[in-house]
This record gives sequence, C-alpha cells and structure tokens, in this order.
Amino acid sequence: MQIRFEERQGALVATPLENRLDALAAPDFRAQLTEKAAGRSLVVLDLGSVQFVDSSGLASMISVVKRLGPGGSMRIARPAETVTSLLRLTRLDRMFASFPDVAAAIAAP
Amino acid sequence: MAAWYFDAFEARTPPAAVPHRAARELAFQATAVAAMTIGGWYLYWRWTESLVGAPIWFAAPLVVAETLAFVGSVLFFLSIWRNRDPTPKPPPRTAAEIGLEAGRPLIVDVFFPTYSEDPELVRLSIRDGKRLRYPHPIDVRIHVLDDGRRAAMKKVADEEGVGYLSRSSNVGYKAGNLRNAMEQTQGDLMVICDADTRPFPQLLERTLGYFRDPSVAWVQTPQWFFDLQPGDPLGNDPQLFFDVIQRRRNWCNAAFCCGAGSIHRREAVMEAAVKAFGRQIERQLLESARRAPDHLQVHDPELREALQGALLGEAARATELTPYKFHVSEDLYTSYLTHSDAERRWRSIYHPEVLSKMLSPQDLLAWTIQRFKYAGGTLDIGAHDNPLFQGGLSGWQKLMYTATLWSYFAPLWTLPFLLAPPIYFFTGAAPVGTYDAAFYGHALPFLVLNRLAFMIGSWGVDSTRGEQYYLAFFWVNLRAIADVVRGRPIKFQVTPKTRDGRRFVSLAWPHLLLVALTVGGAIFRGAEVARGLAAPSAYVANLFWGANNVWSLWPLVAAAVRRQDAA
Repeated sequence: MQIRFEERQGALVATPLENRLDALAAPDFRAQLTEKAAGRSLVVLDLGSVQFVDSSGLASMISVVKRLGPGGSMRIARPAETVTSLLRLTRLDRMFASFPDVAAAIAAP
Repeated sequence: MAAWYFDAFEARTPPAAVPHRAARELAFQATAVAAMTIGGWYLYWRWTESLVGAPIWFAAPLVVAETLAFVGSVLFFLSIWRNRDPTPKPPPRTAAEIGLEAGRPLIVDVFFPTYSEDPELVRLSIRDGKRLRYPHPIDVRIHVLDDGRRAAMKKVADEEGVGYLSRSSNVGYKAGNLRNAMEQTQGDLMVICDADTRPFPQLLERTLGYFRDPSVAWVQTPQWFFDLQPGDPLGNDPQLFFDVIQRRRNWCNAAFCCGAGSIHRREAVMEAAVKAFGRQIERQLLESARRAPDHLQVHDPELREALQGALLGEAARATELTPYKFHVSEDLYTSYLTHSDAERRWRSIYHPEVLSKMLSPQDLLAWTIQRFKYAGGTLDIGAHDNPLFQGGLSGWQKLMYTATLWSYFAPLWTLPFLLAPPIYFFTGAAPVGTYDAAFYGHALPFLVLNRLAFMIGSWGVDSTRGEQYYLAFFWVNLRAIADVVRGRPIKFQVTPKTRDGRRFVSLAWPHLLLVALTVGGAIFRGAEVARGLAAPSAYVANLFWGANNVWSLWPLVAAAVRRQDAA
C-alpha cells in the first residue's frame, strides 16, 4: 500500500494513496504506520483518497494506536461517509475523532 | 519419514452423517413430550407423596437432584428437537460472490497453530492442506503458526513451501496466536485447523458455497478421530456431539464453532472483535467518569473533550483486540458473541459431512485436561456473560447456549445419584418412603420413556460412552465448578508422569472409591437381606441403580489403572 508521510506542526500526517483500506491492504498499512508512528503523540490519518474501510482496516488502525506514546492519539481527516458510519457502528467514533481537513485535526485540542 | 502409531489407520474412512428421517424425528418429539409429561407427574408425586416416612437428610437432596436432572433432560430434548440440514450451494467463483466487492479469485488462509507438536506430525497436516482442491481459480495460503518458535518447525514449513508465522510472546495462547496470524495475512476466509488436523481435498469445495450468503460468519464441520481403537475406553468419539447436538442447532442458528475443521469469514470475526473493543473502551470511559469525585469533574467542554481523548487512548492501549476471545473456550465464546450481534445477525452453519481427520487425546491425562477446559470454559462464560441475559440472541439461541451451560452443572445431581446406593447399602436409609407399587408405577414409566426418547433422538449414533461419561464426568466437572465459583483461572494442575506406568490413578480415585463403596455395600446389604434383616424390594432397586453407576464409572477406572508406556 502506498502511504505518503509528512510532518506538520509536530504531528505525523499519513495519507494512504489508495481507495481501500481492507483486509488486503491492512497488513502492509499496519507495518508501515507502526514503524513511523511508534511513540508519537499525534498521528493524523488523511483518508481523503480512501473510499472504503473494513473491519480489518479498523483493526490495523487500533493496532497503530496501541504503539503510540503515552497520551497519544490518532485523528481522522476527510473521512468518507461510509467510514464515519463504520466508526459509529463500532463505537470507535470518539477514539478516532473525525475532522474535515488535516489542519483542523492538528489544531483540535 | 517417521513411523506413527496411527499409520495403520490412515486408510480408514469416516462414517457418513446419519440420514435425516422425518418420521423418526416425529417419533422422537412425541416420545420426548410423553417423557416430559410423565416426568413432571413423577416429580409432582415425589415432592408431594413419596417423601413421607423417608429420612429428610437423604430424601430431600435426592429429590432436588432429580428435579435438576429433569430440567437438564428438558433442555437436552429441546436442544435436539429438530434437524434441518443446510442446503449446500455451489462453490463461489470469485470474492464478489461471497459479498465482497472485488471480482478477483477468493483468497483462503489455512492456519495450523502449533506449540509443541512434533514438526513431522505438522508436516502431515501441511501436506494434506496442500492437496485442497477447488473447481475455480483460488489463492490458498497455508501458514504454520508456531508459538513454540522452533527452528525445526520453520524448517518443515520452508521445506513444504508454506508460510511460517511466530511471535515474541504467547499472550492469549491459541487465540493470541490466531490474532497474530490475522494481522499478517489477507485471506477473505480462514480455515482453522489444529496442528494435527488433516483436511480432506474436498473441504473447500464442499463448504465455501455457504459463504454466498453474506450473513454466514462460519461453517463448522465434524471432527473425526481416525485413530480410535475399538472400544475406546475414554469415550473420545465425538459423533454424538457433532451428529446429534451440533447438527440439531442449525435450524435456529445456534451451531457454535469448535475450532479445528471450521472456516471463517474474516470480516465477521474482525467486525465482532472491533465492536467488542469499541464497547469495552466506552465502558471504561464511563467507568472513569463515574468514579471521578465531584470536585474533579471537568466542566469546561473543550478540556473535557481533550481529557476524554487522552483517556480513550489509554483505554485503547490497555484493551486487547481479540478476534478470537482470549479465553480457555475461545471458540464457544467467540461464537456466542458473534451470534449476539443484533445489528448483523451473523449466521453459523454446521455442515454434517466429515471433511478432515485428526488424532484423539491419547491418555487419561490428556482427556481429563481437555474435558476440564471444556467444562471450566463454558461455566466461566456463564458466570460472566449468562446467555439468559445476553441481548441480541433469539429465544432458541438462548435456550441452546443455556442447555450447553446447564449440562456442565451435572455433578450437582449426578453426585447424589452416585452416592445414593452406597448410602442405602450401609445405612439402610432410603430416599423414598417405601419401594412399593406406587414408586414403581411412577418411576418406571418415566425412566422407560426418558430412555426411549434419548434412544430415538440419537438414533444411529452410538451413545453408550456418552451415557457412561454423563455420570463418570462428575469429578472433573465438580473441580471446574469449584474453580469458577472461587474465581480461579481455568487451569488444570498436571499430574507428573512416573515410571511405574500407573500415573493416572490419581485422576480417578473418587471413581475407584465409589465403585468400591457400591460393590462393598451391595455385598454387605446382600448378606443382611439373605439373613432376613433387610427388605428385598429396596435392595433390588438399589442393586440395579448401583450396577448402573458402576457400569458408568468403570471405563474411566479401567483407563486409570491401565498401564501406560512410561514417558
């Protein structure tokens, strides 16, 4: 899976460049993100290109959160409606707070 | 290539599933209704009339035990009430045909979790896995999941050209091992095997069709021990469980997963896990808010939001995501939670045709540990997630899970049944006022009908060992109940092996004691009867009763005293 990583105001911004984060993509997504995000306090996942996330994709996001530093969190930017629905369905919408863009995700308290 | 004790059995073929007959099912239902009706009448008489003149210290526990056993019979008969085999569907050509968006060939992971099994034994399983066939293009990926982190196991996997996955810790044991594999693999479907599970070539082509229904979460196939010796003293043959009990749960979507020989939809397993994780996090957050004293309550919304975010992160780090529940009965628990998902209404399928073979527990110790885990695990689920109060389950699903749970409480009534004849033999006290015509007139019709209903209900499947172990199981079961009540982890203390080969007597001393008491008591009371000092009617009734108990306990005693090859 192709992911673009960048640093912005102390946050790691990860932008998957494919339209699905599913069981096929999850192992690679998890491996790449875990390596880059380990110990970080804020990771913003820009899902602007991703149209579909399944439970394996969500599980890989949870797996990354577990590797963050103390008090660290992962925020979602530009999620598709299907993604926000899945987050609500699984009650993870508070853990993965969603924002309309990356800047808002970084700026949030 | 190593020679194995089971080489001689390799050519064995599994028994076919017992054909369904509507007339037999009707006969069973009619007999079961009659048995339960007469049983209710018998119990009414027991409580209202039969206790007069009987010593209450003996009669009261026994009539309570009979009532509990009756509830068990009702639950059992209801749980095997009807049989509706699922209709097989043609094997799907693409992932799209099982509800996924992609039009590519299916990807199927085959998992062989192992810890300490001989790598050469696992090689046999791998080789059979490589022979899996399918009528359409398919991507079958075999993985050895080695929690033993053994170089020899990796070498076998490499030689066979299959995947080898291991991890740095053994957290969660088999369930953790499977989670680790799921994180690193991509299959749309996953075949769960044990290290010694040898899948038949047709496993996938016979079962994947069920996944055309996007609500099917898993398909369980029967487990078949191909190495059983004639007259297997340990009662290992699981046919009664699979061909009667599991199969009759299909119609109400209550067949549960038993691990080896099952095929799972990855999305179902993972979605259930993610939801459970979300619920757990939410619960922890609420709990934190509830526990915070009033003067520490945060009223500023922004600050509160930030604090909650931090708490959520901490809760997430402290909570395990468990596709397969980290539990001693992970298969049953995972099934139970998946069935409970009211939003998805996942379906399970029990496919009644044997599609793999495996090895049976080889001695009394292995058997005892396995049964202890079944009992303790099920009781532990009942203690923490009682099916009667579990939202999302239908009434019949609740009943089926409750029947499974109730069966593990059996020592509460089987122990009084086992103790009653020796108590009579040595004290002369009887649990009924008199063994007269009224007693036989009430008890015999119930016992005969109960027996008939069981026979017809399990027609075509040998249930002899099952019936014996229903009583003989009392000690293992009692220990499991005690551990769950005391909140102790379900862990069986393994008896060390010794050189003299009589290492298992310690596992069956209560059985030996009961057999000795029953036989000794029968001789003692027999002498009293012969001298005209005791009534023959009570003696004869207890003689039959005691003989049935000894017959039931004997296989376990025989297995315990049988000399085993020293380790």
